[in-house]
Amino acid sequence: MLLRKLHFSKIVIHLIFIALSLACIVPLLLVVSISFTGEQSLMLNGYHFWPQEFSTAAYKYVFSGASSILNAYGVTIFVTVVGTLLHLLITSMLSYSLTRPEVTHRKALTFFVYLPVLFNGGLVPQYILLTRILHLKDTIWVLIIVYLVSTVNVLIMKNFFRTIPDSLIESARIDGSGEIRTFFKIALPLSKPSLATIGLFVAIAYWNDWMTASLYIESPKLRPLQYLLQSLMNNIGYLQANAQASQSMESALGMLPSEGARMATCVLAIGPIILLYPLLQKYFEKGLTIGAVKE
Amino acid sequence: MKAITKPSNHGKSYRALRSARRQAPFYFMMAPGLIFITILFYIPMAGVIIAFKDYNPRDGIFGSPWMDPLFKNFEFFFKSEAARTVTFNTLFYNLLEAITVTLCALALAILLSEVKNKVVSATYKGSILLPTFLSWIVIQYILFSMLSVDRGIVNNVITGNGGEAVYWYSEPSYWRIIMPIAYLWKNVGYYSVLYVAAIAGINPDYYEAAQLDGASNWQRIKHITLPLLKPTIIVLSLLWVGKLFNGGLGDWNGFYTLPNDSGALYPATDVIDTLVFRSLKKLNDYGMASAVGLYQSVVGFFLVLISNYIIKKKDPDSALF
Amino acid sequence: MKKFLVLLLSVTMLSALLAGCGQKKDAGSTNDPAADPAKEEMTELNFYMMNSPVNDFDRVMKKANEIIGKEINAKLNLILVDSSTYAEKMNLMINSGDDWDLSFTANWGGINFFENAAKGAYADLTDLIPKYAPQTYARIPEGLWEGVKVDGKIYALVNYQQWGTAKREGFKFRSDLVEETGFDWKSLKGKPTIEVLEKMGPFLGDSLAKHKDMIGFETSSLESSSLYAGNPLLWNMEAVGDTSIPGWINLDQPDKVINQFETEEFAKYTEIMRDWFEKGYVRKDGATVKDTSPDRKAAKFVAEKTGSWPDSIDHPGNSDASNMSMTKSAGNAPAVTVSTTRTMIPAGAASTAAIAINSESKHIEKALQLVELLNTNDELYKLISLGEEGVDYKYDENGKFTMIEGKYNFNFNEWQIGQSYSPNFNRANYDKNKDGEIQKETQKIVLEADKTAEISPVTGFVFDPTPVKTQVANCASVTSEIIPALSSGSIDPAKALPEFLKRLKTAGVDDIIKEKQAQYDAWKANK
Repeated sequence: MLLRKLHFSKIVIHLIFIALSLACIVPLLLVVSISFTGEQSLMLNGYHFWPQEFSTAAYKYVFSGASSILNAYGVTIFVTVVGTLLHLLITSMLSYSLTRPEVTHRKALTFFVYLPVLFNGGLVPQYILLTRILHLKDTIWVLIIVYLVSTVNVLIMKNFFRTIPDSLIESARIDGSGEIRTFFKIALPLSKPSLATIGLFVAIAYWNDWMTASLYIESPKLRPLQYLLQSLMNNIGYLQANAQASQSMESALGMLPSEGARMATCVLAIGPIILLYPLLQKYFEKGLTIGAVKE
Repeated sequence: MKAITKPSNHGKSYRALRSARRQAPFYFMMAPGLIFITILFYIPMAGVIIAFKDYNPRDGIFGSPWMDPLFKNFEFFFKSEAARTVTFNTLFYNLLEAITVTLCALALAILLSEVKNKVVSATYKGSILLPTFLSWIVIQYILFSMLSVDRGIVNNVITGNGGEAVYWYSEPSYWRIIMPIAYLWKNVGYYSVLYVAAIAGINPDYYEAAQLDGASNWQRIKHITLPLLKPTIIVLSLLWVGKLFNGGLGDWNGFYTLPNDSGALYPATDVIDTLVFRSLKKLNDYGMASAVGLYQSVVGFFLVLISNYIIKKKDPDSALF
Repeated sequence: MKKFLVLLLSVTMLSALLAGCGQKKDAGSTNDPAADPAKEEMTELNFYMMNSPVNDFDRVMKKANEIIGKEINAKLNLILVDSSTYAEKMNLMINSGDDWDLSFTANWGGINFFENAAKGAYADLTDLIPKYAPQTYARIPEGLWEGVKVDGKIYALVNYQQWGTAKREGFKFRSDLVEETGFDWKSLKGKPTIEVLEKMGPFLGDSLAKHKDMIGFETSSLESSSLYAGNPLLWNMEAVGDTSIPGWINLDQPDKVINQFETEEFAKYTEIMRDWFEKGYVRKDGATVKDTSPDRKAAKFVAEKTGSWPDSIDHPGNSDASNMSMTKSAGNAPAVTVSTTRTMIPAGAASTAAIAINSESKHIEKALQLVELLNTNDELYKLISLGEEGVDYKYDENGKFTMIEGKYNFNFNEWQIGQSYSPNFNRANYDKNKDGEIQKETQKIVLEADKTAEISPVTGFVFDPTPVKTQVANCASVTSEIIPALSSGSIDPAKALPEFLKRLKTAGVDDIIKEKQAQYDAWKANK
């Protein structure tokens, strides 16, 4: 009786997750399907989960329109990897210290960290700061620096560090370990799941960011992937809204394979970052149990 | 580092020196973060005074003349007839989002921790995380391909079964449901995984002890998991309280993108930020935009202070500061 | 501890190293001259424009800079900014005092030519243009320079295009359906728009009765695409200042600023659209469709508004007039075109596409020389706008211009970098055959008309919205919500129109009209 009940609840759990997973995956399949459908068929038959008329024209268009796509992947990957690692280092050091009772002003410092969540000066001061004071315009560092610290992540991570038992830190101290060493040898390894979680979201933010590039990057070589793809597609909407400005705009509109290409850019942009999750998967599990550290 | 240069807070006693020496490594670790926060967030924060200025580039942020009257930049929002509607919408969607996302994410996280098979659990997590990877523009494409009147999948199904095509983009009332679902769909994976990480951080000794005591699943959740997740829930809630007057709890792009510029939907989909963005798009007026931003921040600030105060009274450990 | 220090140190070093690289590269590109260093130092000019990424950009720009270096000892650094953020980026650069030399400017899309000129962001070119860019100045109708003036000073170089600036609005109809239904489209010539729409109704009905899958007339969720709100000339009106800010004049009574939505024409127009909506002549979801290009490319429209002229009566064979829009290359929708309005150079014509120079630039004269060179050196202009012949494009055996796939492609944005007009028509990609000849003929008619067309009475007037910006912002949010619905017939004007007007009043539309009138009167008195 008990066994059957247990079994039943397990089935329900799995059913819920299968349904949810489908709800998340199926819409993406739609994007893939549209990207492989011929433009004419899209206009006449509408959207379907399976291409009514298979075509790779959209991908051809995207690749021919942006020959620098490989370079853009390179920029994006560099920015994502370096940015995420630096972000994790800076954020974890800050948030760990904010949990330590030795730091007497930690409440005030937390407030200091929190306040920017609410108040920000807007785009003009940021532009002045990054271009005229820090001189980062048109360097790869501007793409990294904008997401280097997130006060929200500091606060979230602070909570993770709080769950580390004080006794562990204390015993390390008795063993003669310095505070910084304790942090890297004990606190960090214990927080692998949270580092992986925060890291994943930071990586997505870096990966998806194209606004920074469009405001601060000027040389074609430093353009990240998302910028390239967005820009390719943005022209269509903009031309449409301002077609009266020029007749050559109008003829341009007639030639752009819009919808399929739009979806193809989505697929190209999302593709690689989706692989990040399986890569990080092992860190999401409890890396080291607390018992293991004790010994 | 600060501590080394000015240990004078407690006099020059031996204890203070020792405390400073103990704190030094922590300040060393905090330094990069604090420096970047100062540079990236505090320096530009001076820009909030643009809200009170008649800004022009020649004189710069500080040199531009003050507005006359000082609060003139605020007039636009408070005098606008839509102010009440969008404020209502903002609060309505934010509360709905905060509640649904938190409850669903918690439920999913707890259920996920019940799935013991690693591969299966990873697959579930990976799938529900997918929408988090998508930008609002991509979500808009997806939504449009489902809801488009003549080519959308939903209407294809409806008309295929002899029904009448539904004009999704013309009827505001549908969007009172579509918008929260979209936000839930995009965000729930993120927060579930966050909570899963928090659960993973719980000392397994607790569970072992509970098992020895013969606690049921539900008891375990109620007495161990939830109390230990409380600090995380409180931090997230406090962060959201500060953003209560910002559309989409700060991420308002969905409200701008998903309705696809359909004016008919504005009464149901406009939040404060989208209204401001649309109204000022042509004027390019930094003063008026930052005035509204400042208003949202100040309200959020007081809400946070009040909530933090209440939490401090009840449970000092969970308070933010 | 040690490990951490090593890590920190290496991160700092790496950053410094890479930052150094970045700077060095910057420095490298500043003095990377192709020409001989013996001459005076080469000036580098930064020119911002909006464009998507361009293939093989470096190759073509290198060639272009060989010409520019030889002719004026300068190097053009063309910076392509994504079109969706161009206005924002330029306004940020201006408002933060960033460096730039030249930029594309316009009165639309938030680029705010007039506001920026009035703020002093752009250099005063009044005396410099005749000196450093004489041909640019002399080639085009003189009246156009009035259109880029603020307080009597010229602030931009007009990008005069091969298709002229005089506007004449009209309508296009599917020629196969015109024949099928016997619609007397020629009789619409020169008629007021209300009359045209009333006559067009039955034709749409007849055509749709035979072709059920077609759509009568195009409607859109964009305010600027409204047949009324975006096209003053069609209603014998003209916007005073920005088209989207309330306050137009009737061209027959050019002294009085009116609220364009309080007119009889607008009321009548909304009624007709409602009627069409109920009869199914327009899309049921017309007010919510932003992107109408799928319908256009699928050749679904029976009739549409057009700005291209001369029409099929005055100049049969004009290829722009004989295809529905966006179908020219597919050729699946033959059309006839009739123009219905007067021919006028609108106040905003000159500032539709222009080049401004930064008032803080150290190289204002050089920048002007560059524009002059772009406008007069056909080889250079064609190189940038089309690429190299034989490599990037070719003429096929019939003399038809074709682009070579995957090669250089300026995304049809050449109108931002100079005048595509030249007296001998050798700057554009006309086919080298009969079609090309017809096109040239057409352009000649248009350009001839530019010289004689009437000039809008508002030309040269600049509206400063500062005193009423609260009202402007609030009206903008009302119009962007309601105009698409009224323009597509999806709401009943009997109820919605009075409500809309009331909301505009609450938002302060009368203050705007009053302010516009006052500024307009003052400007006229000074003229």
